[in-house]
Amino acid sequence: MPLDDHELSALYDRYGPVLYRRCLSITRNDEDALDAVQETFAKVLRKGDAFREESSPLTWMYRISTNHCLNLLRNRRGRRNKLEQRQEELAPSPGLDLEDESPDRALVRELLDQVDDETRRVVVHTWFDDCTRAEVAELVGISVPTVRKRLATFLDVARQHLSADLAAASEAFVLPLFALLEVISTPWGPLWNL
Amino acid sequence: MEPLTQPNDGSRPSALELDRVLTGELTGSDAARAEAWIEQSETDHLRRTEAARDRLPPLDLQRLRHRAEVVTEVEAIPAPANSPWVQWFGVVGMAAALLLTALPSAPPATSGGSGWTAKGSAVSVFSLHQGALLPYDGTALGQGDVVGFQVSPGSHEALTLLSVDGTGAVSVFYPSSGDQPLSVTPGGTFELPGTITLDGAPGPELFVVVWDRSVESAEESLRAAFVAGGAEGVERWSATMGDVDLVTVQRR
Repeated sequence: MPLDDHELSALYDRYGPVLYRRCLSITRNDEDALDAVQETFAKVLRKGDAFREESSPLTWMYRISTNHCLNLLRNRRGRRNKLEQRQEELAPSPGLDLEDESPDRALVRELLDQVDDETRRVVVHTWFDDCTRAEVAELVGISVPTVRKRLATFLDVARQHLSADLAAASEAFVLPLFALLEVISTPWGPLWNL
Repeated sequence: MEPLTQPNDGSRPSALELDRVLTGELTGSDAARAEAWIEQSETDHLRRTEAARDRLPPLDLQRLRHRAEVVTEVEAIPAPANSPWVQWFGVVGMAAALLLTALPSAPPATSGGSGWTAKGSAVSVFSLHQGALLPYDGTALGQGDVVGFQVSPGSHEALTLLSVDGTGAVSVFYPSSGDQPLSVTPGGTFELPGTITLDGAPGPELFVVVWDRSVESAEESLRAAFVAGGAEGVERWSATMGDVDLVTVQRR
């Protein structure tokens, strides 16, 4: 039997706020977060009877909304790469006080497109939902050892990214220093040539 | 040095556990730890959830039911055939096809030259060249280029012509306004009035004709198909749906 309007409204009142808060923390975009909530409830509606049998409806909703948020992020990254001039579309939504952005999350979001789909889901549940490995395993439908492997893969990617950043930062510091040495003259010529 | 903080080792409740308590899914002894956490140290989680409750728009049931129809459509989109097994079977299939060349072949679902595709012949695109609209030959078009469309409605009575560009931006061209699709005469082939001047958006730009649906429905379905699978998702959606036709224009 399909879900009736009363049942849907009750589910929305019960689960909508936590889903919205969570999707906002993942996407950092109000429109996308609301879209993910809509998509999740549309899938609840479509699932109908089978949804009533879920032992933890929220776990199911977390799973569904994660996939949609990741799709939205992927599309938004594509847009950012191609349309740098339309910055206003890409700026974080106003009023994101619902979720303070931690450095962890900003880094994770930046690196998501460097790993496969399954790893992305593992990463989101780990750093956005603060889930344990066992919870991540249940959400993604894989074993705990596989969760560990996916996390190790992602940490490698993060380390490489940070190393590259450090190298770039060193270069940015060292090159001006060399330029400065070149202009400091000595009686025998620029200091840098000594 | 770890680039990220250590994952939760179970010493604290996860957001999922906290949310299960807040939504009443976990109660009694199962909820005790999370409830204590919420009371003692994690009041921020509760505060943010309450703020989200205040900001979440009320449920629009009609819109949600329509969205559920879109979900049904998008779920019907077949997955791309990119697994090694599928590729292997593809090779075997090609070999089998070579052996069966004596059999008559069905017309392809996709036609077109290099770089452009059109599903069926229900929609064709023309580009303005030296003052004349000529059939689009697949060359990449850029900002300021002008295109026009020809449609063959068959038994359909109304259409929405819209596009999605490489960034996922959806634009409706026909009808020019309102939520009612453009009425067309069933049968025959005719040009849509006027032309479209392309903007500088990156491509490919997929022009889609959705037959006999509201503009809102067409727009929402196209957007959902793009979110689900990008340009390829839209192509697969079009190939799956009997009331959707598509033509792809490459962009400079």
